[in-house]
Amino acid sequence: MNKLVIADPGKCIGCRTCEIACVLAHSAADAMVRMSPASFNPRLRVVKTTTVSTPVQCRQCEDAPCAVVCPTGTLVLRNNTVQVIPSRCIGCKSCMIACRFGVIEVLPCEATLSDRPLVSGTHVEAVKCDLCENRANGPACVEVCPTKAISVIDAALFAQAGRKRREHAAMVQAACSPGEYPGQVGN
Amino acid sequence: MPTITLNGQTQEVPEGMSVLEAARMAGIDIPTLCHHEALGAYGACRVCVVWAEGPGQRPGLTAACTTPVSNGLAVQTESAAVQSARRVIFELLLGRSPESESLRSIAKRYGVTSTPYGEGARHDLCVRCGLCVRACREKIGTAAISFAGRGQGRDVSTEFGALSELCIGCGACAAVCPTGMIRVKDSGGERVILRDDLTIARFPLLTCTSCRAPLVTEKFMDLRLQGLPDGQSEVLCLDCKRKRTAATAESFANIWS
Repeated sequence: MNKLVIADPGKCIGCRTCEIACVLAHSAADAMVRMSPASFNPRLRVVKTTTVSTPVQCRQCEDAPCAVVCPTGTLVLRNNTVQVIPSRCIGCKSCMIACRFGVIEVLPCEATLSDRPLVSGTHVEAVKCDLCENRANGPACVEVCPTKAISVIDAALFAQAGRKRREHAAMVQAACSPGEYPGQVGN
Repeated sequence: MPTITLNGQTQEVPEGMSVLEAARMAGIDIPTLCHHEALGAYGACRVCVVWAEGPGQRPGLTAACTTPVSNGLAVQTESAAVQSARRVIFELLLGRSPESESLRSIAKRYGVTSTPYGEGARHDLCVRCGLCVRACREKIGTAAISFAGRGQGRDVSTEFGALSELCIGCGACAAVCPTGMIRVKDSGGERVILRDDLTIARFPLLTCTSCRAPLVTEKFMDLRLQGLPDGQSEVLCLDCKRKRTAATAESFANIWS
């Protein structure tokens, strides 16, 4: 079971602190100095509509459609997450179209040319939430959210949630009279 | 596992690796223009030149990307012979594409800022690395572009230089092009793929089913998303997908509260 970062829209106040933390967590140390609107590409995006405000990020799908359609094996399953091997990306954007959540992007990466000691042909790469794989304290967005709206859900929490809902369903059923069925279970 | 010597350092490397991959694994800097991890070794640009000798390898200069490692192989990546050969290779490439910024910047890193070659010759941005041709053929599986012509007339081209019927408009060719010779232009609901002055293909773009923004070509949807189960491919732009994700986030979050 894959783990994922998920936000509670009920707690999100739309401050975008998570977006900034995301960019900083995935940038070189001098990112603040070099940052520009073009290079500000957080892997999670706060969506604000008239009814909801919440960051949206990769769901780490078990059958990841992005990985299914990728012709170069750029998207791989690693440590129960879907991860990108940027040097393999050829920029065909199949993943972008395949993703149902709109959370993988193919972006021009100036970093690829300047940070690498070697010039390969790669000018673009697929970018998505990597659960801050290389960060000691885990996802930066989870850490900075002022309302604690963002959390990491793993297999154990999934199982726990399932157990709770079954218990709830059982209680509802037990409260019914014989021959009667609960109208709504798990609410 | 074969043992090789890289700049005097002995090292065990996995069977089947190229000298280039082995050197990069060891943190040794070898420049490349035509190498891409997703594509097969090609040996077109020659800037990864190294000196190699060993059993089964005649002592001499060779392209690191196409030379496989073998037991007892000794490789020099920075000897005087390698440096001078690399300089000439960069000069020749600069003679071909003096305006290419990425080529100039990598050449400069290896001390080459001017070239005695190329006067009176054809100049363009294309360094003939073949990345576009290979990405299209090997990974997209369409082979819409290929090399045509010989010598100075060798160019990336479509079939007979006409608008390609095979191109699906994905733009991977432009994404891997190290010099910007191949470009994708989206405007007025139309996508045009260009190699310099040659129009590779021209497509009307399908529009996002929600906001009507031009998004993707029909051929791309037909060919690139075949691997998905039925009904799982949709023409919806990133913003509209994210909005939908946000709208369903409420119920999703309820699962663990």
